[in-house]
Amino acid sequence: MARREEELEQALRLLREGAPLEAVVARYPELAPALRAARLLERARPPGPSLRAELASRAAFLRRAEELRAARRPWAGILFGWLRYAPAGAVIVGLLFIAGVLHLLAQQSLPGDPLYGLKRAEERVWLALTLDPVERRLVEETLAARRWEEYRALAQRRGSGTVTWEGQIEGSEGTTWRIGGIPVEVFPETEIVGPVALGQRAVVTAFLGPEGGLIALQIRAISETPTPIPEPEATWMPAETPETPTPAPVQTRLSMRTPQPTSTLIPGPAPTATPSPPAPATPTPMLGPTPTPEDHDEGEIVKWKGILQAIAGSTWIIDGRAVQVTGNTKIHGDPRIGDRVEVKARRQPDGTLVALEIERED
Amino acid sequence: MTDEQVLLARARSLDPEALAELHERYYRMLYFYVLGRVGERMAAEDLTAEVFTRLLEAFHRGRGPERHLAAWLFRTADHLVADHHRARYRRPEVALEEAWAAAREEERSDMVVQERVREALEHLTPDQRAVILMRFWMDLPLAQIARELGKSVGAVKLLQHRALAALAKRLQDLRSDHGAT
Repeated sequence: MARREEELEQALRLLREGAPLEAVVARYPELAPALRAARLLERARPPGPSLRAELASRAAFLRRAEELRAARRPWAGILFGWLRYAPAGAVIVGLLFIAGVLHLLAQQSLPGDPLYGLKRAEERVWLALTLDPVERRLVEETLAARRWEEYRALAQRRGSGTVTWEGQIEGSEGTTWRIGGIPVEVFPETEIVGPVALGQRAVVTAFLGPEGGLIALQIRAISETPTPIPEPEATWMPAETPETPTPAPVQTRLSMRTPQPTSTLIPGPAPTATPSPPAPATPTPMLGPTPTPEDHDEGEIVKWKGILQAIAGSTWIIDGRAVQVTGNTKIHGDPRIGDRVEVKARRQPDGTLVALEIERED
Repeated sequence: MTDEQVLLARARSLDPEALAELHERYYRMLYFYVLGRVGERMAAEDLTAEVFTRLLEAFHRGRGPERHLAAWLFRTADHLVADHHRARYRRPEVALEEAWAAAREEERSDMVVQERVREALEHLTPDQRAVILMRFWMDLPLAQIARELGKSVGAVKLLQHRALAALAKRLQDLRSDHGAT
């Protein structure tokens, strides 16, 4: 097509230079209709406008301009000048309004809500734009407090989402404490009642966080004389660490009742003068039916039925009672949180329960 | 900022010198464009003047073009010509018949050609019509046409090619009546 347009342009130039139409048509036969049309157009060219008409138009034009200039108010030019941007301005204002509404709604959202991602994205931007180290720490604390409020609100929304168990404080890893064999996240806002220390027995009230971890609402010491643990491990690594929500909660330290020279993260109390036998670390169910133990040579077999309340890594909370699920555990019926299940477990020498079989009741 | 934009910026503030220059620069172009559509000299002069008045009022309201003034003038002229045609349809005039009766034989031949060409021009798109009239009635170079309409030279060539092809089709009857010349 471009070649044809170039040929047309060359043919028209020949015509303008005075070449006879038929000669040009003979050279460009495929352009004959267009060239004849061009020739007719030139033949039909009318004379230009009369000078009188052009001058009259010019005079009327300038006169009208003078009238409009006289009528023009100083503010009108500014106002009308800005009016041309009114549609774009309206669109921008509308977008800002929508963004504001989304921001407000996102601030009230909880994990799992549609706008929660927006809230976290805003927080990431906020954090990224805070370059001063001191301010950044403050922002991080603010965000950690927000997470706590979200979890609390989430627990309230879920209603019966809290679980309670009793067990021995066995160790900690960062913000994760292990109590009665169950890992639980401890926030600065977690209410700690009474002096707690390694080996101390405590009652824990927690709820299931949005990412599957248990969040401690309250840890209440129930014994003034914590049971000493002979050799607590320097570091404790859970079999399967539950994923903690980001940003991680602020690290919380256990209060030490007695300073210890050990290098443990949670120093245990000094042994008492009359050491009592170690308390069983078995979580004691606070709710639900009493399990019916069976004597067994390799460990006590415990069976009970109840509601599956939480799953934190390999630890399942069933009717307020913690049980470890291993690769050998037989699980029937794909139980989910909230389902009623029947558990058969074996008590380990350290007092924890390992599930042998879990079956969902239909 | 181009020369045209500077001129328009001054004209927007109703600067008399800028307005006079603007009228000088675009009057003939607009006149030929309008005449190509209405076919009557008097009507073309009136409508051309009216387009310039509309331009002033647009400037006064803070509107009007910021660039490519020719394209804006042609668009406004299209609206006015459409109004003109509607008015003529309701109140037909006899000027053409009177001119026909008063014309000599060779003048009548030219009148037939002009009328057929005008009729054929009505079947072009506004852009095609603008390119054709600027090229063949105002003898403007392709580069200037492209600048005035805010298009590339290639686009103007394409418009010209398609417009001539469309005109040739419409003028086929006329060519057979009057020969190739």
